[in-house]
Amino acid sequence: MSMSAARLLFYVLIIILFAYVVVEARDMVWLAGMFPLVAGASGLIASVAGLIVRLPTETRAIRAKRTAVESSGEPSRGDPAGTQAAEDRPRILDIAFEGNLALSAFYLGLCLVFVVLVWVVGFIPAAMLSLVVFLWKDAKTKLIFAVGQAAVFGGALYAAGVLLSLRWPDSLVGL
Amino acid sequence: MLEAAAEALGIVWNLERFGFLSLGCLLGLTIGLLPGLGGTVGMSILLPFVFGMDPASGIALLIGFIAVTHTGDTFPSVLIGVPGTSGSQATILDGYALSRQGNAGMALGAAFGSSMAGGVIGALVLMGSLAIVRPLVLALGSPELFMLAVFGLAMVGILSRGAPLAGLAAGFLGLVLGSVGGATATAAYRFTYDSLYLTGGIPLAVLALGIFGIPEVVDLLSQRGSIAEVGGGGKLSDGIKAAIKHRWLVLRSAVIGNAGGMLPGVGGSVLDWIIYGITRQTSRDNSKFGQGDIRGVIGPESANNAKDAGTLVPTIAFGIPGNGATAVLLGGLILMGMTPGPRMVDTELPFTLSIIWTLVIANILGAGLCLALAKPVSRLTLVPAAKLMPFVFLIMVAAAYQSTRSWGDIILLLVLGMLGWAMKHVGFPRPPLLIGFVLAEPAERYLWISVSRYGAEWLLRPGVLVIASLVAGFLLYGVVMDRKRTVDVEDHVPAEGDGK
Repeated sequence: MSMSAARLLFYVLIIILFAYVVVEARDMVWLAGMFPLVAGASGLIASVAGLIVRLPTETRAIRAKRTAVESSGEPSRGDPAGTQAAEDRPRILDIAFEGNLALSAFYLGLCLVFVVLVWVVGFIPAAMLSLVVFLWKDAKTKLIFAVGQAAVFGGALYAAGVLLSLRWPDSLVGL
Repeated sequence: MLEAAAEALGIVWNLERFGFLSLGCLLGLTIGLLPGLGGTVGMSILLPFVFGMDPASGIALLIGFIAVTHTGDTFPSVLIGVPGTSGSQATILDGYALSRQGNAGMALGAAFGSSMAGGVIGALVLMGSLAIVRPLVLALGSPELFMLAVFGLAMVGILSRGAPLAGLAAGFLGLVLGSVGGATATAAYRFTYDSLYLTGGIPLAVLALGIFGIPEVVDLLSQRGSIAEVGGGGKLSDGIKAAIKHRWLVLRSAVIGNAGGMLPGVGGSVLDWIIYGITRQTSRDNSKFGQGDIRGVIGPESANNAKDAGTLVPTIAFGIPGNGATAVLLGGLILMGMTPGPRMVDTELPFTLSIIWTLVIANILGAGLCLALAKPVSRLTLVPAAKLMPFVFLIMVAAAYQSTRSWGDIILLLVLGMLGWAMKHVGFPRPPLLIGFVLAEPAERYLWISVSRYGAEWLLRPGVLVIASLVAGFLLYGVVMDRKRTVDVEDHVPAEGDGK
């Protein structure tokens, strides 16, 4: 998905959300619904206006990307005026955006895995376990250092929990 | 006023409060030097821990933090050419150039010296301005206060980089998210979907961490590689001498920065470039700017610390935060039982003045810490993001969970994290959302009082009409400028429109 397409999609989703807020607020008791109604309606107007203003620019960018993909894969070389580079810029931004999207999805997925782990074994064990795996596999830290850092961090969490009366989420195992 | 100032100094001079202030300074310094993690993220991590604290100690921790973030953010700007926060962008031009010439120590010394002076001058100007602001604030009624909330939101939205309507929409989204839970005016729940967790509303710390913290962690991990490539060099004392030599530049930048900070929405990044432009244009020989001119470091650094004092004026006196970090500060004040707004410059005046004294001490302490820790701290910026971010993420989750100690905190953190990441990448500004969220409760209260007391006539009050025309004028200006900018970009780069 290109950045322009993602932006348009986001505008549409926000518009749907504001429309939903307006509809819901109208069904509420007046004193409860007045404020969300005002905020939702104002947001709806702002986002629709924003979409109308952005639409020509974004559709042009989407069309330019499509044309560039259809015409050729390789950008031309030896272009002293930089015209080709300027024309390739949206594509470069899109490639960076798509690459970032994939990696970010991967790391957001890891966050979800961590939450599931917390639910199963508890916060401090899950934090230590995921730190060891992440530092070892992703940050390429030596296993012994990863274990050491995780142990120190786990100890610090435990101490902070005792000193500041912090609470940790309940888990299946009950650790 | 003088009596209150003396009483305020007594509140600050306390060993426990000084300990919290030092802790806040250390944490602010650490967050400031990590690129990508701005003051809003750090403040959000601290927020759950101030719940139930004595207000003077809690505020010492938060102000200590907020005051030095813009001192610590100089490290990455000078050493690696990456802004630690959005307010230190202009420092890169000459600071990083000096660093590459082997004069990083001089650039850091000048930056810390001028930051300290700027922060102290800003705090003193703030103290003086309270005497002027006080009668004005006390003369305002609920309709005007509601319109001021709308004005603040509109300013922040409209001045958002390159996307005024998106900024405005984000602000209204914040208002909607702020209305989740129990209604202010009647016994009814809104948008709770039979969830017990949502009846209390969305916790501010969870929202701020989700919208700002999670996207930064994910992006820093996605970029991979080391944050820094080079270390420090040069003498710190040469930089301090340069700041003393250019004292009038320090003073002028601090006063402009402070005044700019009082306007909601004029963020650090905008002011930073304005001051850099003024410094360059008013310098006799400006041929070296951008290639390592020390004045290009001194001007912006003095202004960005003074700006923090300026942002406290609308936050404390009107209850309208000027940026993300002060929005969280406002939440912190409410958590500790304080009510930002007219009362802060009336019955709570000594407490308000104690905040200003704290700001003065924090700026001096922060600059001292930065000077003392310059060498070891510069080594920390060489650590790869992949080795730091997992710890930051875990601290964020732990901090978020302390908000209501419910699983809902963690789930909501991830959901809002995804929303924040999407907003960041499609060019929807995030600070207006946070400010809208914080303003939701007082704005709803003022609207309800206005409607029930004056009916529709509140719309015709002179103050309301003046503020409404200002909002309309700014909105028009923002949209016209955005259109002009889009056309300019399209003329130079065909079909770019990334808006970032």
